[in-house]
Amino acid sequence: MAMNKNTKIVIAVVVILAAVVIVAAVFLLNNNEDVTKDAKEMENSELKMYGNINGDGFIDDKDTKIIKGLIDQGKTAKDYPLADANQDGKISQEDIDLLNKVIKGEICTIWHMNLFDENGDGTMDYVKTSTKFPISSIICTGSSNTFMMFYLMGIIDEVKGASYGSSIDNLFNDTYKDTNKVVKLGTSSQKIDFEDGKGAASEVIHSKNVTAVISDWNRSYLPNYQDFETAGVDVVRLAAATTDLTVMCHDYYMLGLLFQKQDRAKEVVAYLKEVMGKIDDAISRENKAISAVASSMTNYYSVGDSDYTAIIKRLNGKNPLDAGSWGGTTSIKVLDNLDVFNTDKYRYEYVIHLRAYNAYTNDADVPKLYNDYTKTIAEYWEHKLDGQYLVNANIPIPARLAYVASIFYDDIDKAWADQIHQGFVDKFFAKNDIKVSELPFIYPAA
Amino acid sequence: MASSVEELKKEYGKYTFRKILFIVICICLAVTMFWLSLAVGTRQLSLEESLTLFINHLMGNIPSRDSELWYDDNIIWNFRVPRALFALIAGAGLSVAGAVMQGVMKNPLADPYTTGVSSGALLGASIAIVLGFSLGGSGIAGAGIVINAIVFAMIPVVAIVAMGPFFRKSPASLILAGVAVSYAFSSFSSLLLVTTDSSTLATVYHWQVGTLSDVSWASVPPVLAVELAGLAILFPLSNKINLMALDDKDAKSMGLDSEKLRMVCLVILSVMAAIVICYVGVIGFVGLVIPHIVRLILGSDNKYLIPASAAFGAAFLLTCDVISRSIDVSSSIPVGVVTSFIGAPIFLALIIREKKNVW
Repeated sequence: MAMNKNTKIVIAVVVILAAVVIVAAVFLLNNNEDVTKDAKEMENSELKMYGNINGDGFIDDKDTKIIKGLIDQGKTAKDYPLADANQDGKISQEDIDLLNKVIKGEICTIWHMNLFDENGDGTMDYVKTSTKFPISSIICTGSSNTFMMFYLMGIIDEVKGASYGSSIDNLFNDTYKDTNKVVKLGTSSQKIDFEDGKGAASEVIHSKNVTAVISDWNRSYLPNYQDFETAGVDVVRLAAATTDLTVMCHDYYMLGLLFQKQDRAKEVVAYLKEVMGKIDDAISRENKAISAVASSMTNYYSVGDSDYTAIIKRLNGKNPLDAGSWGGTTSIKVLDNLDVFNTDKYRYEYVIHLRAYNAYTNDADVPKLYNDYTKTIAEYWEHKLDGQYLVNANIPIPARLAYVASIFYDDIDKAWADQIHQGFVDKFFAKNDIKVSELPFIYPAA
Repeated sequence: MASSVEELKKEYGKYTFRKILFIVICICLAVTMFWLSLAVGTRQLSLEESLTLFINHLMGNIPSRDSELWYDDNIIWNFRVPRALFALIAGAGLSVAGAVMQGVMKNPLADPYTTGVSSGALLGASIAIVLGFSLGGSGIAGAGIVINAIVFAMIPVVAIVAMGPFFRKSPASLILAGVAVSYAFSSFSSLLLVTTDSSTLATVYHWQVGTLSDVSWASVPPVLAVELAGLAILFPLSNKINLMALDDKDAKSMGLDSEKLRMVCLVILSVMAAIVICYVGVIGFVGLVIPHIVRLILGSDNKYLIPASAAFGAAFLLTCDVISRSIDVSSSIPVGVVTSFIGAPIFLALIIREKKNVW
């Protein structure tokens, strides 16, 4: 049964195409496996950067010495992926040269992990990326947590443009909100257009020599990130609202490295570790089952992996609504889901309203805000107003945790939370004449 | 006798010349606006700079990545050129779709969205944006929205074609069916939107009013292919569409099956509109009013109305986009807002000045 010529050609083409598809699939899968493997290696690293072989928060001689030893022993990048600083697939003197440039603060390109929900499943992934080093000029998506992170790090003049909404604290009036210093790139804290009308970013990037845009890990932040990458602007993603100490360390150490503020990063991280230790210690003293719900928008509850629910979970609390099915969203509108008040299904003692309002400058009518945020829930919820608290969301994350802990735990009081908060102000705020105990960061006081 | 034929020829020549001149002027305007649009946007570039960058890129002289010009070349080539091309194609497509729709439906209020494609597409996009579910499998990512939108946009069209036999008596019934389908789909969208948060609402809103902000090169080829195919089919049909101005029975006596042609046009026009909506949302006004403006100037002969609507619509939408980018606000105003804002007074002025009845 001889095949004719055309049939042979068709079969050959199909075989070649199939081979190409298989090779491409194997390559892609392997490539992905490599990144996953690297991510696992970096899981406990305080600075998730290639070359940071000892997993601390810095690139220094300790790293270069270890890598030199690996080269001498003939080790490969497959065995020690984090030693491959320049990501050329091998461990060599070039990796040490690159790290030496980083140590000296010389211009180079570094490879690190971006914290980003790459696959859109709502959880944070580690995504390998390269960034031009060092950074002296950036734009950012201005969530209050991002601004607070920059503020604690003393990254102020380096911010040339930002997009932000109306809830950003007036504390930043003479820094990030001063449009003479920082060009306002939109009224959304999540999106910056690269090139559009007069208010997009391309002109600022060019005129201020911006080399990077810093944004949050959540996919709703900077959805058009590829526009920036195409234009040669690096996209660095951090987790400004994280309650995970290792991730917090990475955020600050990465900023410290990129902006050459390692000493400041060291101070901030030391204080973060101290206060997170205090919080863990305080909540561990009391064995209590906590059932609470967080709300970040009027008449909405947070569920799933939101940064707001994370606050409750970090304090050993549980969100009973996580057991329900809410259509994949992390924000559920209570009036459309009255089941959230069904006490046969869900019982919770607290509703924590985490909202951004002007507390540092004390120019918010907090009782009115409290009334606005709580009244509808009070109509339906078994505990009415008892158990509903308003906590300011513009403050450093550990301070936020401390205030919420003061609500949950009998042995923790507001004064203790104020003390933790005051520590941030005294140590790191440019404007440090603020007495937090006199300001309404929590209402009513626990 | 001879002189009257000559005069008739002369008169016809004048008649034709006026129409062709209008089309040529519109094309020139579109080309001028294309050039102007390259210089308008966030990055401040002069007309000369932007044109030089564009021509150099076209000639293959792409600046090296290390050079200063590379950044501007990227802005011109990857942002402004595809956006301008998309505006030209979408403007032409929507206007032609509107002109033909009004012709085959014998109704001045018919537009490319008459069959409910816009509300179908909106529902598809809302499902992708609000629920994160898309038939393309990529959630709220751009491709997911586009795929959802086009699939849902075609549902009303399929429904109307399926119900076609029930509407044989009157094209007006088709429009009413489209309105009914639109309302049904809109109510589903509203149901989804009332349960969502403000930032998602803002995303859907931008899509609802139509914006060219997110256009990239990836959007241009599918839209170009569909609009060109649509034009290639519709333009040769212009004489038949002219006949459809007659009563269906009279048209039939001249060998034209109006019902069949109406259905064929309906499907083609819906696809032409749907592909635009899928990428940039619902740009209103263009498909409804541009054909009327052209009809007021040139009359109702589809042989000229179709190409003139294409040329005028292309220039109009690009002009509106340039205006939307020039206004000094935080970002560009959605082009759908500008089309209505600019187009409505022009249209009203024309109606008042031209007292003749074109319908």
